[in-house]
Amino acid sequence: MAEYARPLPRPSVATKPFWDGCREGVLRLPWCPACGRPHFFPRSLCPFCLGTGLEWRAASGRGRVWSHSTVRLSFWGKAFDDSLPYVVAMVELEEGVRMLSNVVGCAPEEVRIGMPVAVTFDPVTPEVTLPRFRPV
Amino acid sequence: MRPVCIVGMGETAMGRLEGSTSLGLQAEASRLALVDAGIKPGDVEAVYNLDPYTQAMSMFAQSLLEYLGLKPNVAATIDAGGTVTPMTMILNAIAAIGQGYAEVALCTFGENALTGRPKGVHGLPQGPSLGQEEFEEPFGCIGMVIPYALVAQRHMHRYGTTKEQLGAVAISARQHAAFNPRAQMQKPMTMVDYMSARPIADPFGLLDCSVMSDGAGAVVLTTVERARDLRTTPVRVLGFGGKATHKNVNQMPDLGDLGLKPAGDVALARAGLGIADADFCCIHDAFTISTILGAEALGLCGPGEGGPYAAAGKLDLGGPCPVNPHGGLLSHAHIGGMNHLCEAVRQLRHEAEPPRQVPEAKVGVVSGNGGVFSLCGVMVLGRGL
Repeated sequence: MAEYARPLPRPSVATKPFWDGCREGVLRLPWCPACGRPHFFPRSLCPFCLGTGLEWRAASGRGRVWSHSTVRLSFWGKAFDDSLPYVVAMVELEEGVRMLSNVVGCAPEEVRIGMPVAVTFDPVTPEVTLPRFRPV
Repeated sequence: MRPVCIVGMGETAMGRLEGSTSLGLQAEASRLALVDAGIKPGDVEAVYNLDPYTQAMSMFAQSLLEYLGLKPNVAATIDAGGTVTPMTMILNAIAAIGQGYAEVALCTFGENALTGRPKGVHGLPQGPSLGQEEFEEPFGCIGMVIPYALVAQRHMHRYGTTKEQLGAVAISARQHAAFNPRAQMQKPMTMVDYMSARPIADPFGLLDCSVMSDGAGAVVLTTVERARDLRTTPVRVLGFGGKATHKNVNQMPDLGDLGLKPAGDVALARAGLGIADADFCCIHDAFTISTILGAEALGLCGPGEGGPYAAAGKLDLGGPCPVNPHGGLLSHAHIGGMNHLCEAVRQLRHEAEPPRQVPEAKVGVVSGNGGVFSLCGVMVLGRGL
């Protein structure tokens, strides 16, 4: 099998629970016990109140497309050539946070803003599973 | 604070400058700006620049002052992003001169982004990082085109902006560039050219994207007192406003909550002016959607009306408030927005080539952002003391 040539996340102490969750098939979000809000991307403190002691909770995994772009050129050498065109999307989760990902499982021209989607896990290497989204 | 003004401006050739270096380009723009101002190099006491995006560099202001043989009191490399970088250099120059830490300040940016990049790399090289590594790049969201495409798609969805309206922005910039002998893109562009351009990331094709350029620009500032004895028409900073909201597109607020509008409101209020007082605007146009959002935020038109505004020809020379009379990042050159400031100075000095000189220009508004509308800034400039 060819080596995976695309960029991979390098989890830090603050983000490891997120990536571990993806590998286990659970989309987890960090919640702030002080102000009661979730945030994304994961970091070591709450960006709304600088609260610490964040708690990881499973998210519903459902959301809606906030914006999208069908990409027709590989921006990482030729690493994305065999997936062109692919859909980059920002997804607003039911919990209110937005994350950047891909919409898969439908033709790119079918993707619409506001379209309901659900997470699907794509194990791209033995260590890394990427959360992508499919129409529901 | 002693009052301060811009007294010198220099721009190198733009485009494909084989064999050029970022350092050499910044040095040449600096030399031109000092010659323009009639100020001796030894009088420069503050140097602000930005290191090239296409090569990892550190302490680049020191590299530049060494290259130029300058021995300033203050030197710093400033990376605010986009057109906000030269604005921030100018703010620092005003502070240093105003408080008496320097008499003359030099602000410059330039690089060999076109010929100095590794082969096969689109946008930025795979070295200097934009902070997208963990939560954007693994999903194939790499560089700046895709983030701005997401913004454009959202604008089209929310306001009904059309591809042809984005095209009107690109065509307007190209028309202006045709009057600018320094512009990189001189070939006329039709709507057919625009619509049939190579698709990159929907809704963007190649002609929605700014050019990659070699080149540099520079401005020189000093006290109003000293400016009276210099030969150039001085340009004053009448007001500045800035607002940062995020860094990468995944953290971007919705279109109505971007920092462009508060930045513009503050800048104009500080100047004691309204947008109707602007004779022209230079709007950071990394992509066609940028001009549309910039025009809306400055109040040239209402929220969501930027597309029809562009399509009606209102950005054009001869329109109510010409936007980017030099051709902008889309068709003049992309030197990080440094040339938006240089063009504003040139227009206010009434030294632009006749077809693109805005008649009797007295007030120019420069609006820009770094990142993906991440750090926004607006600077109002005025002719004379």
